[in-house]
Amino acid sequence: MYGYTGTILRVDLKKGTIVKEPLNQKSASEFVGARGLGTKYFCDECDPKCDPLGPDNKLIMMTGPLTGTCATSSGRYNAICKSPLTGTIEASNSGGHFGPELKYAGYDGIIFEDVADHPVYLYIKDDVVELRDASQLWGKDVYETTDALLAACGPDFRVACIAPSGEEGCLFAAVMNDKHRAAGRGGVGAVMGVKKLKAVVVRGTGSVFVARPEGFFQAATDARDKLKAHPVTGAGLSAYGTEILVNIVNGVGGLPLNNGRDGAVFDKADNISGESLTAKYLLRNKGCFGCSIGCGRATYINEGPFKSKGEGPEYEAGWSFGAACGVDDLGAVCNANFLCNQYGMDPITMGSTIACAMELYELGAIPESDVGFPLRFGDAAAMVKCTELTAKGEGFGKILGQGSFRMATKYGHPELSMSVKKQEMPAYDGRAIQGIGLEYATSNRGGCHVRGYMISPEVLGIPMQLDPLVTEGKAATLKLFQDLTALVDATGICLFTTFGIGLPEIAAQYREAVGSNETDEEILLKGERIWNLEKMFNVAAGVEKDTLPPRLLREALPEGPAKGKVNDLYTMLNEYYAARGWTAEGIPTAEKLAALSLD
Amino acid sequence: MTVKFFAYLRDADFAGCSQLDWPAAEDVHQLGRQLSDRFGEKFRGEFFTPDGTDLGERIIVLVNGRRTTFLNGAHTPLKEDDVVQIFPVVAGG
Repeated sequence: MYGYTGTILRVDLKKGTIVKEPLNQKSASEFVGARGLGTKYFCDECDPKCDPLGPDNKLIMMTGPLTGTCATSSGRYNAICKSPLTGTIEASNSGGHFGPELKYAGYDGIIFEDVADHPVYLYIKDDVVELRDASQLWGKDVYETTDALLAACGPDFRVACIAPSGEEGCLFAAVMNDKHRAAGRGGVGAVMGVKKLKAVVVRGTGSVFVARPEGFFQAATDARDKLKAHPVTGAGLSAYGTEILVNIVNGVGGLPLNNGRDGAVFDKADNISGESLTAKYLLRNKGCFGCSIGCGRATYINEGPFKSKGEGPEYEAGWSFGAACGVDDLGAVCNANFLCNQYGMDPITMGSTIACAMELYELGAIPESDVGFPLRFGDAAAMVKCTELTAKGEGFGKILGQGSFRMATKYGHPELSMSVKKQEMPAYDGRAIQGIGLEYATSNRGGCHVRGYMISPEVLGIPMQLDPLVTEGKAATLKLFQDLTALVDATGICLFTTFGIGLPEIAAQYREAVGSNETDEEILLKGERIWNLEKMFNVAAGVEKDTLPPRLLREALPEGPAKGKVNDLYTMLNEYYAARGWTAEGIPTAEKLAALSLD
Repeated sequence: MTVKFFAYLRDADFAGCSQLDWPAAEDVHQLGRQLSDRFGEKFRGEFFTPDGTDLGERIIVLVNGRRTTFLNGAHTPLKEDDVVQIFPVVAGG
């Protein structure tokens, strides 16, 4: 079986058993890998109604057929489970080196079942797979845990782990690998924590074999050459990182300010931009496994109250701790992001939840006695303090750790949570950029920008230019982007490659790796199949309908190029369901499911 | 009008600054010619297509926050109080 190792590890944490079982080849062919294949395993084995923080929720770590190959940017794996934050299916995607190492050890993925009776970690060195006691690691942060495991197991191992946030039930706890890379969204770290699974350490000395080596090498080289020649993937992202988006998104009036309360134009945006990060704090750029782009940032705040060192921020975190909180102190933004890495938390949800708390505080809905200090927009020190409290599960941090929807509901204003299906929306305002609003509303894991990335055509003009202020054409484009994104995630390569290459290059690499003769269209259909499988899980789980926060639907933007605009969701939503071949209520039809072999 | 530059267009071998007050230009095309005359051929090569008739593929121009594609392209008229933002093609997320 080419592109795959052919073996899945099944770990029963309660019984302490480890079984090596053959990969389901039919599922692999139909759902590719990573996000797709992991979701297929999950849906086959888990009750959609299960308690996300109960023993019946499984946690699956799954690679794709291109993971660990010479395909460019092929360092990805996915962590799949039912999200405790949203109640939806979750496939949280991470880069770094952990995924490739797992394949070199001989495994396409790991299925964790049930709950251990004491903290454990999974040790993998090629054929040797053991559950080991992690009692001494419990309570340690990501850096401490990683360093301790590398010292115990060897410097060549790769570590994926959780921090106390995951142990203590922070609903947006991440699984962190290689210290700074995150399966960040949806609270997969909380699921790992409930299972008392502190970490997975892996070292592999094997290889990944592809079906047609010569053809694969040519396809991979062709893709890499195109990425190097493209101004974004060949130069821009490595020079400035994703923070370069701050000024252009602000320029089109789409950078949500002060929890979106005050519109989406931040007059201090340049202070938190990629240009400023590069000029003030960048040490060097960093890349994941096999990546020719290198968008990662190693950064250092060398003085002042936020003196610290780490990686990032990327654009979404730059916004969440910046404009969303009305903060223009880039040192504070970096510091908060470093804390999220060290303590294993999703910075999008963290920053957006703090922004929501700031609005509730200024509204008088949260008393200062609950917070312990004033919490106004623009207060950089208070923003960092909130992040620290959440990281350590102390004081007001326990409330913040439940995410903005549960916090806002507690204080009587759920409408002030800038979330979809209880997950916080990222760094683009759906009133100024219509298609991203539709994307947030229809995302299978709640508010998310990487389930289609409509910013690419609506703001960046890649691969085509769509007017961000209009709704026409957005539904059909989003459907295509969602399907392609699901496919890309399933192969095990980075979504950022799609700034420079498209379906032909991705399909070519897949074909040559696994030995397929399918057409580009047949391969893209696998992405649509994945999307519909995820949707059907959510339908069965009873997830709420597709919509947006009332603010985006009713509160017109007060200024900027989109002044007077709200998101015209329901016009687009009808077109979207039609484009998907779903009912008017957004349910996949029997005919659609049959056409996708999902019946 | 105000003209703003971003990313490497701020470097010394392009605009060498992040913002300028610019006296006047009839439209984006004329502004591009004026800026190119001041900043040199490297800037011109980014701003225009090789034949000089249209905006280059490596550049994004916003006039008051609207991309010129959705206005009148290179011939988008400019007024004294306009804000023109000039970006190289960027991406992220």
